[in-house]
Amino acid sequence: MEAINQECVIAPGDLREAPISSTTTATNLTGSWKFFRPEIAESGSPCSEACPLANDIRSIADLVHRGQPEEALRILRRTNPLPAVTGRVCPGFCRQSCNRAQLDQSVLVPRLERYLGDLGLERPYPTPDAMRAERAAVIGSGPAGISAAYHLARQGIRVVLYEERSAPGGMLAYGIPEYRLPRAILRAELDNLLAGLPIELETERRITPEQLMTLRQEHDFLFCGPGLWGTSLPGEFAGNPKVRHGLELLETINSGHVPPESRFVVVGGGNVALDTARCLRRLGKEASIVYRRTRSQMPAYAEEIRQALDEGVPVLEERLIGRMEETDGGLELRLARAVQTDGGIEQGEPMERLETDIVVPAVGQTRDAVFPEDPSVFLIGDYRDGAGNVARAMASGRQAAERALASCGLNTETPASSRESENARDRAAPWGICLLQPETPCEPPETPPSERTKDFREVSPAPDSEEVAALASRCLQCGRCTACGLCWFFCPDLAVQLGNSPQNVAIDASYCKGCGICASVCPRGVIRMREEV
Amino acid sequence: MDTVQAPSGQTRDMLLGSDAVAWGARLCRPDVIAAYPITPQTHIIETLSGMVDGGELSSEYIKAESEMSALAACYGAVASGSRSFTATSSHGLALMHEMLHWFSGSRFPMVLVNANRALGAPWNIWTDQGDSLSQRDTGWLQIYCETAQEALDSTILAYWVSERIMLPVMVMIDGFILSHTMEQLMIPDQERVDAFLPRYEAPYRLDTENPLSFGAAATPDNFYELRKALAKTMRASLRTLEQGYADFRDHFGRSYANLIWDGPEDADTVLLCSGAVTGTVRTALEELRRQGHRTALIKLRLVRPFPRDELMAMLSGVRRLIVLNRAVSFGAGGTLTQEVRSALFTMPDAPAVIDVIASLGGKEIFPETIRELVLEADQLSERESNWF
Repeated sequence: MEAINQECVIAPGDLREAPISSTTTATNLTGSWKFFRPEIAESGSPCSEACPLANDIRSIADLVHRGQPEEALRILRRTNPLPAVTGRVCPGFCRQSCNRAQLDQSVLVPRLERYLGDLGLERPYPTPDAMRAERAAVIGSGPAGISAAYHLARQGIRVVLYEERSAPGGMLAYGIPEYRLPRAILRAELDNLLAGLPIELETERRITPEQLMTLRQEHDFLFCGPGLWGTSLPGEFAGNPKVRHGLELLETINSGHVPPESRFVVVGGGNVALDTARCLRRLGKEASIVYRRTRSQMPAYAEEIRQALDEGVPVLEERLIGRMEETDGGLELRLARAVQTDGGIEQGEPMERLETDIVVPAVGQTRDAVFPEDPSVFLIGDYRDGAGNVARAMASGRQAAERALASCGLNTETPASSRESENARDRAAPWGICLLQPETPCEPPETPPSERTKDFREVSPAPDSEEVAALASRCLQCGRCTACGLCWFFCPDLAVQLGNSPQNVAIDASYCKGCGICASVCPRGVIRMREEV
Repeated sequence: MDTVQAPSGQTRDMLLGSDAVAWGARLCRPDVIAAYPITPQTHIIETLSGMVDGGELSSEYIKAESEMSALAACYGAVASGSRSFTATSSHGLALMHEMLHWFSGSRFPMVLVNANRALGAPWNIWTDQGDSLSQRDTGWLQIYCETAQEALDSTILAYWVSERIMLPVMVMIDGFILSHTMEQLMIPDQERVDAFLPRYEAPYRLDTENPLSFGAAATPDNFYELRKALAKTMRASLRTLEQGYADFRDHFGRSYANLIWDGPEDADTVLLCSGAVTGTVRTALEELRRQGHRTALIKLRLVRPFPRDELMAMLSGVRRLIVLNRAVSFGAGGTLTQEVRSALFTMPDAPAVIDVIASLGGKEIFPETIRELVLEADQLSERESNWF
């Protein structure tokens, strides 16, 4: 024993009695303390999970960012037969779940898709390696039918595509206005697709329900996607010559006919209602919208609603037509307040009077022909699922084609499609996104409303390579390691080994204490903590 | 006082106690000041930040988000070889508790000025030594000041000692009583202080050319040896302090000590106290002595390390020692009393030590209070704590 007292003298050595180590601490294997172990594992990205077509968006963005748009187009065509179309008409379900929105702004994927689609107009679709013996018929050349035919034909199955109208495209050609999808683009993309693949298009060939089973017997596979073109009007309007269904009017305009009347009141809040009003505006007509709920409750795409308002389309919210009276020149509408109750909508106090020539209810689409149900016939598109959107219709065509291909022993390599987008939206974005540097948000350029309503030109000009390179570089590559090094930077135990590529990122289990900081800072959600067993 | 000429190399001025501390710190040219405001020390760091802002002081001033962070920032600064300063009080010192251990355990020199203040609950901002005395086991030297001059001088002296023994030093001033009252004092010139206190040359520091790790895990045997060295240095620092007082007197002409006896040598009743109340006690005892009572006071400046042997020597022949406490350890009595009793345990013919809880949370101590204590000392308990 040694007594320490105040007679002790401090020697220079005593001052060095500090807990300092000049040798390595590597002998202290702190990894033995851990209860949790980080795992670096790639997972799906929220955009692809939200996309009805499950487009491999992050790979496409990465390839464009690296200056390989041709390869990006090849990847995109694996899941999407018509990117020039969807790049224009899809509202971008991917954007609603894009994690980048937590940082500054979601990635403008539709612009990227449109760019690749336009690039593809000049690039032939790859022809199948070999032809097969099976034959298929597809009723309806809308997005669902085209998609089914495309995925079958790519595998060497000959397809006959029946279209009752004079041009292919279904709703793409007759429902969607020119300013959202120029006919020339649609035509060019369809021609390109049909040129490279064993698909025989027969236009002006209406298949009646009675012919269905004959057709089925003549082919190995039959797909039925005639769409929803039924335009039956609610009882109070039926038979009135001054009432026209929105879809029917839209089809007329899209076919190149201009209605002679000058004043229109469109009733409804869906895309058909908005499209009809905006088309009429471009034809120099007066068109206003009457909707029974509020603007924010409209089922139409938010972008469509905003653009319609920008273009000066009057929207009367929470109104319904209380009474309709014939006048000398047209109709007088007496609007009433639409009161939302638990049971639905009730008529409230009287509101404005509107003078109009034509009332356009754009409410509800139905089947115009009912085909016999047979388990061996694949139903696809809106005909099967009810009014939806182009991407969903394409997805249903592909899923049906994949089932048919699987029955011939052909397993496609495309990713599983059309998961419910709601699930993806519920998942929280990784916290680590807040560690990234935000950039100034940018919206796609738009032609001023006063200019664009003079004709049917596209609302947004075409994106150039500079714009898409910039927006592709904004993709965070969620679910995939990019060797960004944030885990390496934050690891308090220097346990992350960072190479120059994602394949060279590893965690040294000897020193990882399992604190989980790497997992919480990873902005791509690639690191997960697993309990040690 | 106004007739007194300032000694050469010093300037006479009138300053708040807190400004006196700020001047003391400034003259030591700290490289880094990291602090968080708290009543009643805020003036100290406010004045220092003003000096930095005005370009009079070239320190790096870090506005921390808490006292814990402030002292942690100072730790980093000292680890990299800098001289560092902070000031705090009460809850702020409590929040620093963990970092206090890290400083002493790492053998890092540091000076912290604490304005003594009560800890809640209930909320109270007045003077009370409970905040610093409850940190007496953290391995910091503790110096308690009576005047603003003493606070200024002790801050300079604290660096001198700290950097020689590689242990941190805490300097205490009474909240409000010292921090918020003005006093005429001498401010040494910068050249004088530079001559007394040279630049800090760290014997070890963070250096990318010579990588070292500080405070990494130590084995039990290793830990024991490091703590033994700390204990040894703490005891031996009493000598360093003596050298410091002598050197300080040579440079600035003012004398300090760990313990100061004030009164006749044959006093039989002695009062022991620390901090600004010493002045009150001195006045009260002077009057009692005029009335014929043999009383003296011991001003305790140093609580860590505790100057046991000096105290024993001072108390030879004293019959009764009344310890005035401004802090209490509940269930054991006045904190200073415990220190004193423990120190005197091996003293033959030790005086009776009477524990008086004189004030808590700023309760006033008047000269009459002191006089009554001495006059009625026979009625005070020698076993239990005496409360008013």
